[in-house]
Amino acid sequence: MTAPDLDLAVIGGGPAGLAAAILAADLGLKTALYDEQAAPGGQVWRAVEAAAGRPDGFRDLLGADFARGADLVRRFRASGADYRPGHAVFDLDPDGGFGVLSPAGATWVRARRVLVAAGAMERPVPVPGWTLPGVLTAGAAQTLLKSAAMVPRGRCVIAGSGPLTLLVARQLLAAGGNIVAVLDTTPAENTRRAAPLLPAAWRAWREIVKGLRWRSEARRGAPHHAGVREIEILGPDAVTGIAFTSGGRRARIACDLVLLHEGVVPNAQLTLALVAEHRFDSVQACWRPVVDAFGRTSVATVVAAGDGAGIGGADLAVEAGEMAALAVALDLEVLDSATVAARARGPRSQIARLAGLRRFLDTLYRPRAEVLAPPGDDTVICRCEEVTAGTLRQVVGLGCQGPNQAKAFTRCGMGPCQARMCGLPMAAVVAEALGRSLAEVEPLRVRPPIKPITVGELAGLEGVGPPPATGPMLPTRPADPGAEGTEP
Amino acid sequence: MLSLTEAEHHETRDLMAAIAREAGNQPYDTRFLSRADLRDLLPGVGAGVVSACYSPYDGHANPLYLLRALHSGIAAFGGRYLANHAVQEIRASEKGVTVATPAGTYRAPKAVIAAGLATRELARQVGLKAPIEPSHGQIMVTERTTDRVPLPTNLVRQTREGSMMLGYTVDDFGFDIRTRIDRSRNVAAGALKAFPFLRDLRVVRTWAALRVMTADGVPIYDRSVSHAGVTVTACHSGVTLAAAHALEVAPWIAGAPMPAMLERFSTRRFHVPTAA
Amino acid sequence: MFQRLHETGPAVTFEFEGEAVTARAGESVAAALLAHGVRHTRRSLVTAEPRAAYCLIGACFECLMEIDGRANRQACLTEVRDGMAVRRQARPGGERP
Repeated sequence: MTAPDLDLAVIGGGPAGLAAAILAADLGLKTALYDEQAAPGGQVWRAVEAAAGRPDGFRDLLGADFARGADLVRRFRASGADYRPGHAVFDLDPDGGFGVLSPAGATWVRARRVLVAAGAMERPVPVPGWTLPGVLTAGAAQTLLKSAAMVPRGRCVIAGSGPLTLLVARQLLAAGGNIVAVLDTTPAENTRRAAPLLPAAWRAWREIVKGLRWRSEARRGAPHHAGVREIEILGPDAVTGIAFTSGGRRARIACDLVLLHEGVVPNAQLTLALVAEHRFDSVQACWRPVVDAFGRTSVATVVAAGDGAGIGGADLAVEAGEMAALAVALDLEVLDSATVAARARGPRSQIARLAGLRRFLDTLYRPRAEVLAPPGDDTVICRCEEVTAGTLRQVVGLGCQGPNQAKAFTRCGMGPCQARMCGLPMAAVVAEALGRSLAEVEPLRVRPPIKPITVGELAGLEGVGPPPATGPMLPTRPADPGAEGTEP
Repeated sequence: MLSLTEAEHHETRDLMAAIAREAGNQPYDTRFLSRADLRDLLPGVGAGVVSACYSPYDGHANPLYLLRALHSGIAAFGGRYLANHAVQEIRASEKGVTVATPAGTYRAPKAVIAAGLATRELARQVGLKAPIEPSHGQIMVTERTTDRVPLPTNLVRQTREGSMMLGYTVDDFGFDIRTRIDRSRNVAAGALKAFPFLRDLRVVRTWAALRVMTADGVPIYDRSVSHAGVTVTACHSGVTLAAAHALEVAPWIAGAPMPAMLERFSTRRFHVPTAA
Repeated sequence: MFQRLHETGPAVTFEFEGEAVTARAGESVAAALLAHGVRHTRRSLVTAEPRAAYCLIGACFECLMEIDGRANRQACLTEVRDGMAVRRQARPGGERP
């Protein structure tokens, strides 16, 4: 086995990855950051460097959080860590080897430690009609705003629950987008359950005030409906309207664009493919890798930080990134445990400060059951292969014992998105049909490559040893004096 | 069967000859194709293909559809599929066969052991020697494409949905079913040599599983002597042999006399005394 | 469906299904097509129903298009270039949407 090329490979260019790479480089670790995007910032600080060249009003729209991102990216550029934009990691082995794909081809690289900081993605929201052109996530609209300064042109409805719903509503309204309604799907009982947790979140009072401001701006700017349920998006060929239940009545609004949002979930493809230990977080309703306080996973060479390890937001991700870098420094004996303990105090205290707010938000925005497992049999769960909830329920009736078997029976999860969209709802529908909780079923097995790589690129993979000859299919037959024929 | 090297060509030729000898009167009709015939049958086949062995009897079954159909069939014929009922013990008496599982005990006049990699141990309980080891195999699946590979080959075959299945490998990794990146590269390289037009097709997943490999690679069909009513079956491709199992083996399990062609698959062949 | 708030960079012109589309440097193909008013960018491989981008961060794979002759590229992760040729995803079976 050849010597590792790196001390630390950071996968992901968002807050956690950037913070980790800055600290690791500062500590003298040979560090490289692999970023699928073309510029650092991840999702939350997307195109933050380009924002410097935008009009002032636009930068204000993006908010003060963006300024923090710009600062971190600046420090990263100056850190001495090797930055690899446009490099997608498609596989990760427990021995610290990983596959990287770039326009130049595919390479296998070895690091002594790997930090997976791949961030989050929006929770898929399977409702009737969600596959129609004109349905996007709230995050998609924000991506368009940040990277292309675009806002909706036609009539737009925002439907969902969570901080991002409020932020996007506010931003698009301020930018002059035609938001004809904001449909808040947060159930009333969530507010009741979360209210007692608010006092414990007092240390994050600035964040709370900010959130309240977003909420009032969003409510003032567009017609607002609360306690929204039973969403159905109307077509037939593209979005023409949205139907929903609110205040006990069924309503319908004509529109051209629907932005859905029910929170974000860890993008755990890489840690699942690694087969690190995961657990189902029942409050956040998602699978997350099991990690210690420093982000160490069950695989010795791999640490995880940021939203990819569990939703916590950008500020928490920065602290977690630093903790992960400290763990690596300790494990590689660059720092001793006393130094690490001392340097971890700052991040630990920030993490503690934000923990109360995190618990409050998690409870307030806990997804309701119909978001996890849509009740209608005709609702499409697997967008790639068009597998409906009804089909999944049917194969459970045939004896399927879990999501992986249901996948084999129905092709659900076998499309190009590799179950990123259907993994959670499919597991929820199957679990419900089996009469079990999501914590009792296993997540869909994720198989490499987790990024699109062509046959040609894989055939030309560099950095892997000479190919062993594969065996003959059939074993050599033992000598059998009674039988005819001889061995080949 | 496509061969990418001279050595593979010789192996294939010898294997076909051995199969033809054993098959006796059964027509196998395998022949090696000229390059011109190969290009006609498989447009786009690569220049790196050394030889191709063809049989008009070749076909392929979709394992996922078959799996679902078999489950539906069990239900349709009034059978019960009991998941999470791993059989730990088999006993037989004049009252019938009893199987013990963590979820309960069940009795029937007959029992068939078709437990794959667990068959070795269960067969031992009923006095039969069934040497079975896991054989690691890896394949990869591509996205759907409008390109066509019209005939199934050992290296590449196309599913009804349009995706390509590329294979295969054979390794001894015990019970570890992880895919290996160097095997993935091999499979991709082999597929590319066979059909260069696959170059820009995206790999959607790699997949590995364990074949149920008997010591000589040939199936086992046998009846227990010590435990009346218990039959043992094992093979490394229940998909390929599904029809044979349903039409030839099942009647024998149900009580028909053993067809002559199945006699060769008894476990007696594993009791060869070591040569002096 | 979307419009630009201000000029974000130099114009870039590419071709979509034979029609000229003007975008701005740095935009993704998916964003440019949304600003151009394109409703569907492919059809479901199973039901042929019209589909378009959903997540715009490379997770949903709805935005697969043929770009410069190469099939199934994620339009949301591909930056526009002058003279690029973009077409809707072809369906196995050969039909164009």
